[in-house]
Amino acid sequence: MEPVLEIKKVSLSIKHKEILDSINLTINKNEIVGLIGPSGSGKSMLMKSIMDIFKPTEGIVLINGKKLSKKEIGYATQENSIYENLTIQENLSYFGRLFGLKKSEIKKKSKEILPLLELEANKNRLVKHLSGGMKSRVNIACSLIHNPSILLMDEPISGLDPMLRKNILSLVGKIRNQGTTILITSHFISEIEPFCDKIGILSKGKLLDYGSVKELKYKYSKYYNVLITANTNEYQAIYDLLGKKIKISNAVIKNNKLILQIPKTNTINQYLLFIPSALGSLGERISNISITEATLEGVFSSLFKNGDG
Amino acid sequence: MGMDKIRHILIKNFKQILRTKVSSLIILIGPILIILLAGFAFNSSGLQGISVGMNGDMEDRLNKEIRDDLQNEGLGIKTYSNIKACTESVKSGENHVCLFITEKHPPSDLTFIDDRYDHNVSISADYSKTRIIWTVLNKVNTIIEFKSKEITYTLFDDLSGKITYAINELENKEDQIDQAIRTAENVAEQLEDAEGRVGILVEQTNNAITELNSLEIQLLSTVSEIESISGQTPQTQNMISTISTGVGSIKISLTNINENLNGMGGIHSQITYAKTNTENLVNQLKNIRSTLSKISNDFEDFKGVVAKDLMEPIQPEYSSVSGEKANAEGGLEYFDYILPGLILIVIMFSSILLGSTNTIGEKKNRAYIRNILSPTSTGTFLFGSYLTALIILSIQILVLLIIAKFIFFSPLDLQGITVPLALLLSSSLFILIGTVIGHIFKSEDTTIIASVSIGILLLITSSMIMSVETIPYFLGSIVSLTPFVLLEDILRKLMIFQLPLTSIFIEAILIIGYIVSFTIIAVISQNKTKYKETF
Ligand SMILES: Nc1ncnc2c1ncn2[C@@H]1O[C@H](COP(=O)(O)OP(=O)(O)O)[C@@H](O)[C@H]1O
Ligand SMILES: [Mg+2]
Repeated sequence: MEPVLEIKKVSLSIKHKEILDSINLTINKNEIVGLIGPSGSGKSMLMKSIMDIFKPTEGIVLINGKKLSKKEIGYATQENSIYENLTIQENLSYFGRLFGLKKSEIKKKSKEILPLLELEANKNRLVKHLSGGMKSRVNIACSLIHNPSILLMDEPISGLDPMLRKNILSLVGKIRNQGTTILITSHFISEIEPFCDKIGILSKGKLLDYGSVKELKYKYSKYYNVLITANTNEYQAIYDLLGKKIKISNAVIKNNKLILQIPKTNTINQYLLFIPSALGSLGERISNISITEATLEGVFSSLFKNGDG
Repeated sequence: MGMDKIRHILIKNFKQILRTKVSSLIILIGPILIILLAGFAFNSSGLQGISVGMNGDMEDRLNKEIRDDLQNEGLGIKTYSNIKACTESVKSGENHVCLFITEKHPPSDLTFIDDRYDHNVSISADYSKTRIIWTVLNKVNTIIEFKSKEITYTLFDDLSGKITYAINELENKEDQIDQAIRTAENVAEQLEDAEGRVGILVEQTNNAITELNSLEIQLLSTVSEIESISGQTPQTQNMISTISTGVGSIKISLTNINENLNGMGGIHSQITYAKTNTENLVNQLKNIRSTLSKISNDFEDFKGVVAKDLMEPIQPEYSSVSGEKANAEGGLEYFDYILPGLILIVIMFSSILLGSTNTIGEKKNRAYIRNILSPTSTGTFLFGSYLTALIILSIQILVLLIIAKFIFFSPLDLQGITVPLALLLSSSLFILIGTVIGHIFKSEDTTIIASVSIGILLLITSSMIMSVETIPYFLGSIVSLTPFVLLEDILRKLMIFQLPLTSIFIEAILIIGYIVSFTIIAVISQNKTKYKETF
């Protein structure tokens, strides 16, 4: 287990607004790590902090155990950062030169990357004439030209239709197979999950959870999510009352709903009967109760519905 | 490696520029268009397309002559029956100027001398068309002034001819008077002679009478002596009576003579009177003569005077300080004098705009972040974009110089190394100013507005618009140090006066100072703003 990227207690605030809150994250060599979170949760800002575009107010980022070296990171930004008026090959060559590559090195690397990203046939076309999916791949290609040890991909599939998303994601595995470690952000959990080794969950600048997909799946499959809709100021009382009778492992208020995570010790139907009665007179003021199995995606959709971060 | 990166930045920039047809077109055509337009506008030849509204009355000589003159200058003429219609035509834009010439009523006596006198000349123009209007008014005024002089000359030459004639006449009369004086003097002389002779005659007669009287007395006394001696004898009686009779007859004739002589005395005094009068006449004639000769002497200087000398007693000869060249090649035209400034304006706007739009364009390009995240220094990018602009400017400068030299045949010294070098120095400074603007401002729009504003601000300080000498000293000394003014000075010295490089030493040092300062500011501003507004 050789760590390539180590994010240690990284916090970032801009103009007294806390954007990242003490993030700890380690990515090992040849891993594909997905960072998931609703829009505005700080995924892009975490990447920009890694790139030192926004200096962390606290904490440090290490690449291969050392401080940031631009040559060791490939950064495919959320918006494609490539020249529209250059061809694919010209973009690759130009950025290769900026990274100090020789002509022969660029040629060699291009021969490797272009087929990998299925760009070979179009390499002499101007980027502005390419489709969105192709531009996205060019953006990735340009991030790989200098042979970085880690590739940061910020939402590579947002804005693309499902077919193209699959296409891009299938390339992620290929890139990893070439020996590149990958950190990829997205708000499409179900789509990136199959391609990732590990998943980090980001919300409001906090890393809520981080672990292998297996771990997380297992972890979240042990719980039910109980969604209670009532008057907001009753939630504390409900929590207190229920907490005395069943084990509550987690609780959040989301979109005026109280979400409780409870261990799967009984069936859903048993809980559906038990909870209202356990609440007694309080139960009458509850307008709705629903209980679902907590899947990874379920956790997400409950957390991230309505785009709330 | 740095140079290699710069080379690839340049290649990348030019590929991008060449692939956007509009931008490459503007970059190349823009300055050419400006210099061509300015060249044709300032090159004095063309007044075609300028139209003047005039009185349609072609009977009037002055109106007709001025109309012909204007037409010969290439201006178009449209005629109107009244001044109101003519003025309206200027308002409607049909004509640039209305020049309405009408006869005055009633005419004064001068009209009899030259029928071009006594006219009302009314000029109305649309002053909102500033530049063209001054050119046109200038031309119209020149022609009117010329015509006005011509009329004055005609009249004066007429007058001068008459004066000359009068003086010649006077000179003729002088001779005649001299003749008269001589005659009168002769008369006086002869009268004097006659006077003298008559005088002598009278005197001699008087003497004779006196002597006769004394003879008579002697005779009578002799007779009485004889009587006393001899008593009265018949002989003596006889003798005495003979003598007495003789004396008496002498006396009678003497008395006659005396009486005649008295008449003679009248003649004498009349002669004297005549003589005095004659002498007076001579004096008067001489007075007249000297007055005449004084008059003719006084007027002698005016004889043959030409109107031009009199109407323009001071006729300055204009010569240019720019020296031999001005004379050698038929003189510098107005266009040549403004050419350095004109080229500088084009270069300034082109450089500032290129510098700033390149910078903001690159900054706003989504690919920018990939540039600044590469292990490449700020200075490399700065130098790359500076060189990009400078190469484009070099092409523009070349084109400008070629146009000036081969289309407008400017006799200015445009070849050699110094002028192009000075122009490159100019564009370097303005490119850097543009680069700083591009880094400071956040959008394309504000960058372009700021660039144009800065350009205009610098332009206002130019000697073409503001003269440093006429503004307050404090302000003047600041203005005289602004980049545009310094560069204008350098270019004038090199292009018009063809002074050696040493003459622009101070200006060049100041400009290099500016360049260094703006380079530093550009690096700082690029570093400060490189991550801003990119996300
Ligand atoms: N340039 C910036 N300056 C200050 N705050 C920013 C900037 N960019 C983003 N933010 C804030 O940081 C938070 C995280 O944004 P971001 O990382 O872009 O979210 P996402 O997870 O969608 O990528 C948001 O609240 C956003 O308002
Ligand atoms: Mg984002």
